[in-house]
Amino acid sequence: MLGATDPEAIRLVGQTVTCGDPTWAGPLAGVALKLPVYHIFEPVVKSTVPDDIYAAKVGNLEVLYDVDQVVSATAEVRASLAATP
Amino acid sequence: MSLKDKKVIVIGERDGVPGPPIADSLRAGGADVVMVMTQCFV
Repeated sequence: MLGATDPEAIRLVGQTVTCGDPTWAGPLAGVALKLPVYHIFEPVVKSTVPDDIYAAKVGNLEVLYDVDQVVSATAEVRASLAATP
Repeated sequence: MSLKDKKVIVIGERDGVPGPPIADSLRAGGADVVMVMTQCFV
């Protein structure tokens, strides 16, 4: 579950835990963990958390960022996982 | 989607959403949070 809000950071972290470190700089270089990646801002995740808890813990941060951009970057990472053999 | 009893690794970000509030939210939703970290890309 990711909390990064920059699309590039989402791709970097997401790819590291799915297909392996894309920079080939860390211990996960070439290691495909194939973990499913989600973001705390995604509606499918938000719906699993009680509304009052979500509003208190994360809701105040949600308004500061472009949620659509975050959701689409995370979906892109999941799509790349689906394409990984 | 249900996170109940699913094992979750939380990777937060200092300039985005830090790990602990994500973990608290997911635990409230029934997830089993097994690791929490907050990264910094600055």
